[in-house]
Amino acid sequence: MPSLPNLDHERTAVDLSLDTRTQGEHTVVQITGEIDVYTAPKLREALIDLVNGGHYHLVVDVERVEFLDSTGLGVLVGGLKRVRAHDGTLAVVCTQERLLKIFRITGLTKVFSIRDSVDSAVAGS
Amino acid sequence: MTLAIPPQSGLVRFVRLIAVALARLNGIEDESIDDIRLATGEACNRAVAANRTAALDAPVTVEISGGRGLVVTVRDRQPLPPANGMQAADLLRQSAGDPDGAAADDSSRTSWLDDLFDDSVLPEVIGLIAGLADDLTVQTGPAGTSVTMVWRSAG
Repeated sequence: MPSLPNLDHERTAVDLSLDTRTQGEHTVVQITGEIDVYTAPKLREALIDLVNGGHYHLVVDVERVEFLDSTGLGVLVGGLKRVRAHDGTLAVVCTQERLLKIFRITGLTKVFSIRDSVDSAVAGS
Repeated sequence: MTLAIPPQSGLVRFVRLIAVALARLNGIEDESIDDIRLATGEACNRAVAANRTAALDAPVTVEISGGRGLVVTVRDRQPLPPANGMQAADLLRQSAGDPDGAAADDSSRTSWLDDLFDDSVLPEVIGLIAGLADDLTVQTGPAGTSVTMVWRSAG
């Protein structure tokens, strides 16, 4: 398993924080805060760093995300496409109805593997 | 209330906060608050991007009014051919870089995913807003585009 890159990018006023850990063959990215057009570049950089570092099986945990807009969805789709280029996977952990609604409206429930826990995501791919 | 913000993405979150505050003041039910926050932000992001695409420093204007619900209208200044309804939504998709207007509910069609790969705005944003608001009116024209979202209160 490659070492994890440093994701401690600069923080914005209304913050988005990212914590990563390994669980089995997966790299879990736990996101806290708001993912919008202002903070999404930080998440995009983090996912790119992970893929460039050889982490191709990602679990993105959005249970602590307070706000997610289409920009954030775009970054997640970008992450999915990057790991797929390496035959990897990207699962999303989400049980918040207000976030699940966004995935449903945009049709992304058919694109992402959406799981109710990190353990389920790790076991399911 | 009418707000005018410079076309800067960092200011959109303040509009979201104001929209939520006014929604609560107007008695909007809790289950619609998140929809208002997201849809208002999406409409503002789209308008900011439109003004920047047209190289305009002109402000994005946001009108929020209450009463028996909440009405939020977001206007940009990017000139487009006059249209309304679905025709206007199609024009916005094209101006956002999704020329075939690919539906977001079909995972087998990937062109809109390709658009998303490095871009920051979902081409199907009008579709997302339509799924969040009780009523949506989109009108394009030479003076810009207006997106009007309505949430009705149960009372």
